[in-house]
Amino acid sequence: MQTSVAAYALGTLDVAERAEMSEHLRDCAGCRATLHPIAGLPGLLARISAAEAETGPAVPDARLFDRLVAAAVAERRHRRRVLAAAAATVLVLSGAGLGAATALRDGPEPAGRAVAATHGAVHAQVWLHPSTAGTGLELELSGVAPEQRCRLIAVDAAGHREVAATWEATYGGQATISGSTAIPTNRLTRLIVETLDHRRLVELEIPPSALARPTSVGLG
Amino acid sequence: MSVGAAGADERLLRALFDEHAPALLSFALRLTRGDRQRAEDVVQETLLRAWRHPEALVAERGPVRPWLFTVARHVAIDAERQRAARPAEVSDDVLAELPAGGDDVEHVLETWLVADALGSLSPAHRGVLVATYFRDRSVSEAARELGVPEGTVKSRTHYALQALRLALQERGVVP
Repeated sequence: MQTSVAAYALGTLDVAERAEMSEHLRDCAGCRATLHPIAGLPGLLARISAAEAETGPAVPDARLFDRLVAAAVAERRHRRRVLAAAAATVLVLSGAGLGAATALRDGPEPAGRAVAATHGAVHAQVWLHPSTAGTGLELELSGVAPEQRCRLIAVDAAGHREVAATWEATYGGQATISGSTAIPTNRLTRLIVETLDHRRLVELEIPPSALARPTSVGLG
Repeated sequence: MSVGAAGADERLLRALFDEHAPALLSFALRLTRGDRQRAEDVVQETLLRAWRHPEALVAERGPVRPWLFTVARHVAIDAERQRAARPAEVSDDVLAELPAGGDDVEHVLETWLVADALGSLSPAHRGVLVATYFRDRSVSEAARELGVPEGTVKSRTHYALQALRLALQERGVVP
């Protein structure tokens, strides 16, 4: 009888057998113990359509992933152009601590490279533009609160620090700051966003592999 | 050796995709009533938003998946509204059927976990549940169709439910 309990729970026993099992369950503690943990399963299964049960859950395919990456690449390129064209915008930051830096894949132009880091609510992306005078920097910041004076510090391979930008203003959601440093792009190892009293808001590592490959191509 | 900047975006997208795309696609298919193309559009836009806002993926801010499901729902609603704005594609009834958020997101998430648990069963176990429960057939009818003794259908059903319960436990759906 015990192996019929599951079919009974699902309601798939024939009518006569079902009646027999109902009666049996009144007296048999063993079968009741078998029924108990599975009694709720038919209710959960009822949420699934027969078609979905037969084919299994829909599986996202590689094509969808490719589309996703292509859309991200297109957006990244677009944003880089918008940011490169943007005038310096003043803003104010708050927050604390260091974030793990993530390098972002760049567009096809050999001149630009991007790094990004998030720490808590603060997200920073910096686009690097090598120039004859050193490196131009476009910083995009979000997740920061108003009323704070901040600066962007560039650090070179020897640990030398240079203030690349200082700003203060009212924060309006998301903003872009332009700065520059005399440190050549291939010597830059770190960028630090900090308050004027040296409280670090977020730190961006510039991976050496990014520097070794100034002409990275699009994703994929 | 050539990691670093090159693949970071793609790695983030890959991680997002692997972890969330199956659940999101399943959810999106419900939102679009089985329209695969539109469901994939919803998944793509949802994951793009997650990629744009990595701060939302920080675990301390709460579970990520309910947030993603809510985003997906909004994306689906916006897409429906745009379609509805074009007379040839009016379908207000779809909007009415979209899950309403809040607890509903939990419900939808749980439903996906059930489907996922069912999908994790062996073909024989899933097959017997499909042949009986999902096709609304009795054990004897299913036994004739499958060409196996009724006892086999019953015992397979028994082991299928045991395996299903275990799979649901692993996914935290049942205690």
